[in-house]
Amino acid sequence: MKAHSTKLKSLVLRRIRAAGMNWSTFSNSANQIIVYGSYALSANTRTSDLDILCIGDGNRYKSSKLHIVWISEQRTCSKQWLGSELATHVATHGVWIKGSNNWAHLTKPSRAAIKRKKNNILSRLNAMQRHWDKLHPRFQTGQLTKLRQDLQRYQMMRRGQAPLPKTLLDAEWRQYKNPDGWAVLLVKSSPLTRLIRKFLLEKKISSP
Amino acid sequence: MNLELLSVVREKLEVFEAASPYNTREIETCMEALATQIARLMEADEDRLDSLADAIQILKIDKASKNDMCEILDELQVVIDASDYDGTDEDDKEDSISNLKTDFYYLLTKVLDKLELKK
Repeated sequence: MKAHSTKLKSLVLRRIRAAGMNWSTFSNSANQIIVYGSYALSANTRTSDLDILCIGDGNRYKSSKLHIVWISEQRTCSKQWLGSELATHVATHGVWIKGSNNWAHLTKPSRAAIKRKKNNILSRLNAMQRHWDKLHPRFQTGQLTKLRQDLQRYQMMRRGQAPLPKTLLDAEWRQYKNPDGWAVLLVKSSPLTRLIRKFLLEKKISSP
Repeated sequence: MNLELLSVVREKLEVFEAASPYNTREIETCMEALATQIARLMEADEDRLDSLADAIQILKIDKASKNDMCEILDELQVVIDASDYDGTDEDDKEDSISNLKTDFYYLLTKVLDKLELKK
């Protein structure tokens, strides 16, 4: 674990410098620096960006190689943060490369976060229904993948688990022995799964 | 230029503009539908499309207009990505999303009008 953390720290340093930022200024602005997402879980691919959560005062940064999110120290005590999808993911899978973890044990997917996830799934499903026939097959596949990943995360959050990064969700999806992975995901009947199943049937989709 | 396809592009653009800034899933899907329809209108290779910005590059218009639209799309994507993170203390992004959508709508409408006149 220590070796992984040291390796990640040196990667963060390189990416911060490559993005034209000063490491000392960056590091001094954050009381905690945490790597999360696929790099933290060693599940990164060639195209993965490096996700970093900083506790402190700074501005969001996003490029194809690096994504930095800032949360104020005060915010880490809030119920909204502690119940959020991001906080629960970072708390479970994040690797601290600076500062000590003094909030992660308080996280659990909140009802509001689970509802938000469900609403996002419903919004995507509605959008897919409205625009499906006008989407190139490549975009259709992309939309189905995002729908499936959101559903996987929603189900994890409902079980009180922290959601996984995309690469691990995809790996889990590939491991389903069932010829139709959707059947596994939609096995539990609920209004949401019924809507998805209806959409997949209408569009004659099995495993995307 | 196929006027029927042009009207589909216009229709998708209207839906994009009208989409709620809170519904980023609808906005993203609209952008992909718009990209697909622009590629069809321009009879371009749809298989090489990755995004709406790619579709804008296909349009037979001046470089400056393309750059303006692609800049807006870049900014819109950043704001949409940021709005996807829950629990952060960043400002609400809905106003920015609304403004960027409207800016893009006016620019692309102007371009489509010009293309229609050229026909």
